Amino acid sequence: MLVRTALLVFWLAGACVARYDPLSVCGDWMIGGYKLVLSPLQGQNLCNFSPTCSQFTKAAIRTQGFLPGVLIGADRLMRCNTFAWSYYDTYYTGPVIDGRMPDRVENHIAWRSRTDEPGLVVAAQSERLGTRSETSDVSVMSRRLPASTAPAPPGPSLSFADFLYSSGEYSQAAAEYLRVRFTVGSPMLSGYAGLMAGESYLRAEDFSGARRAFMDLRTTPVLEFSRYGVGRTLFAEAEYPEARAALDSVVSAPLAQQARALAGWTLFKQHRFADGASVLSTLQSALPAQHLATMDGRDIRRRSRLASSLLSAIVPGAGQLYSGRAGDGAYSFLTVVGTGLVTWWYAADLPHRDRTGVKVSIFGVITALFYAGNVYGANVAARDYNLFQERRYVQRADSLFNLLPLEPDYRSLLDSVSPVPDTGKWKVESGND
Amino acid sequence: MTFLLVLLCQSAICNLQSEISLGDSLLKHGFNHEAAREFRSSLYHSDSGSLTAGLIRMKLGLSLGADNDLPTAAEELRTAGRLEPGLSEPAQTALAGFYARRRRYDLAEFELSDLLVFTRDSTRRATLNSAIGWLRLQKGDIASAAKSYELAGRPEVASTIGATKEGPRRSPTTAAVLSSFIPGSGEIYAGHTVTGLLGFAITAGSLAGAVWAAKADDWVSASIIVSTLFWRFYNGSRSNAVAFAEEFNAGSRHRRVVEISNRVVEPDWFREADSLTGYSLRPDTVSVENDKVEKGK
Repeated sequence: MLVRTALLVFWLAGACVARYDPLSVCGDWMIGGYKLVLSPLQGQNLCNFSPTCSQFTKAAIRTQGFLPGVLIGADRLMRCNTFAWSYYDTYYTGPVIDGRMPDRVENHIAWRSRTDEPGLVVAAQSERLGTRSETSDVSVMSRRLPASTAPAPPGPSLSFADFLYSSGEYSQAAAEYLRVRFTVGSPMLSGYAGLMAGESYLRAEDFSGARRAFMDLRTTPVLEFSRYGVGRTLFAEAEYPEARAALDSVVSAPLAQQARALAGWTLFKQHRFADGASVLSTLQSALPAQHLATMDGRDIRRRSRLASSLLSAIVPGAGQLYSGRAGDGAYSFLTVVGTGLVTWWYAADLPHRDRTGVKVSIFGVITALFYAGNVYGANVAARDYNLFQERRYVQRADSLFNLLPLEPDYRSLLDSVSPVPDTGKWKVESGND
Repeated sequence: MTFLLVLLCQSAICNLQSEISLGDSLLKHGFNHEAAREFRSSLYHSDSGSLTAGLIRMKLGLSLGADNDLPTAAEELRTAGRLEPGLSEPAQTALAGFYARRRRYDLAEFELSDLLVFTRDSTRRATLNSAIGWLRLQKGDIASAAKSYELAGRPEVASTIGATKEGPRRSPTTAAVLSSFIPGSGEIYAGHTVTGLLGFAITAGSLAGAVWAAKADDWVSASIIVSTLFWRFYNGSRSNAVAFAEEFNAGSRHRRVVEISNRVVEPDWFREADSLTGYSLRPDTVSVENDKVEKGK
């Protein structure tokens, strides 16, 4: 008896950690069989999540082992209800695929952090990358010469590049800026064109091109601008530690403050609020920066994961309610209590008591699984609540950061350049117009 | 319609410029993105150019359409039509051709119908109606396709369409009603026999199990079986029957379209537009994706 219990315990423990143990494989087959035979008979589009509940459970069993996988699946079955749509964009983020919300297994593993990264901010940023009017005005070199009789093949033209940039054709503008960069003689002008090429690539969301364009300027007089540009590109790609490394190398006066502020933003993006606030407090005071320096994350509302699990252990669904998901809590409560009642009914000493014990054990196991899944789910729900609150905090910080002047001022580069086009100096313009 | 496209552009090019420009060569050889850049560049430098702004915009629109950037292409082609009224017809035709190539037959038909409103010449109206008929056919709208062909003065095509029989049809309502009474029968009616039999087996089996439990006075088990198994599979059978019937109808409609397309010899109204753009505006042969695309919209 003791040996059999020990073997059973070992087998269950193995089932938890092994991936190709017999239980997991059987689980795969059963779910596969369900998907082939039973699932098509229930109609189409029943699950409101994108890996459907059966696919989700299968993946969970595959990656986490049989028992944790079944618990994660049980929690998913209780979450797959009509209230889930009201949690879209708070707890279930991502694009709706085929009419279903995205919900992957990796986001529901309690002992790991979620895999969905903070969204890229290029879209928001490009409103503020908006030196649109500034840079297109800055093409002070463009002078239209009177039309000649034969149309000459247009050479690389800075004013044409600015025209393309201002009309939104960023990839073409980048190509044109690069042509100007490698044909013009003046290093300042060449540097300006290279920087604008990087800007255009950034706007066109071609981040590798932007990085190449900026890093190519490392040996030119516009070194600081190029480092800052690299930092901004890495920020737009959401590679925050690398962005910080690049920004820390910017030391000269006009850009150093902006680089510090952007480095602080990267810390906020990584949810390191205290560090970010301390970086911003070193800046010279601009009003948004002052307020940001006070946002050190202590005022974020949080829920305790332990408390959530304990609440759910006492009253099924209470943990989800505590973590902000009343609908999920209600469904969990109904499921666990319902199956529990059925089990009790069969087990109780009533006229229709299940004497063979089959129904009691089946429903008992089902109740236990849903109960355990509910406790697990409450833990994950609390973690998701905390993540959501942090994301909102980051969004508040974003709106303040967007007020800071973080765009580099390329105009200062051209102040050192003579505004009057000299045919000897600006050979880029001579073939044009 | 398409002759006009070619004539206008060729005359514009020949009269005003002695050599083929870089952009035209690029477009002809398929370098669409680079051609778009060249046209944009010549647009920028247009006050020195020999081509009018409208014509350059039109070529820009053609190269963007060839590059599969349809929204910008549409914008440029419409601007070209506004700048030079004479270009509006070829521009709209080219836009319709691009839409047809991308299998957006509804948008292509819209463009050509819009053009039809303003066209007075009877031969041009006839070609336009013929093209609209072809597009409606591809969309699956067979009745209005026949009408368009009649308006185009091609009654033989209309009679060919009329001669093809309408394929078998399954009514979704009948399928739903059948499935409500006998679960699974609606699915068999709509063509999926195995699913229907399985559905019937599960529904009938669960109902039988519930009745057996009720007879043994075990109402709890009976209600669990009915509320979970029976209810889910009964509703599923009904919704499956409706979906399968609609799928059956779409397939039969599609087969009829293929049959008509094989019997109707269509003048190649894309060919002239092809020669202008230098690449093929011809859509691929009618395939199963058409109806799926149509349903998904």
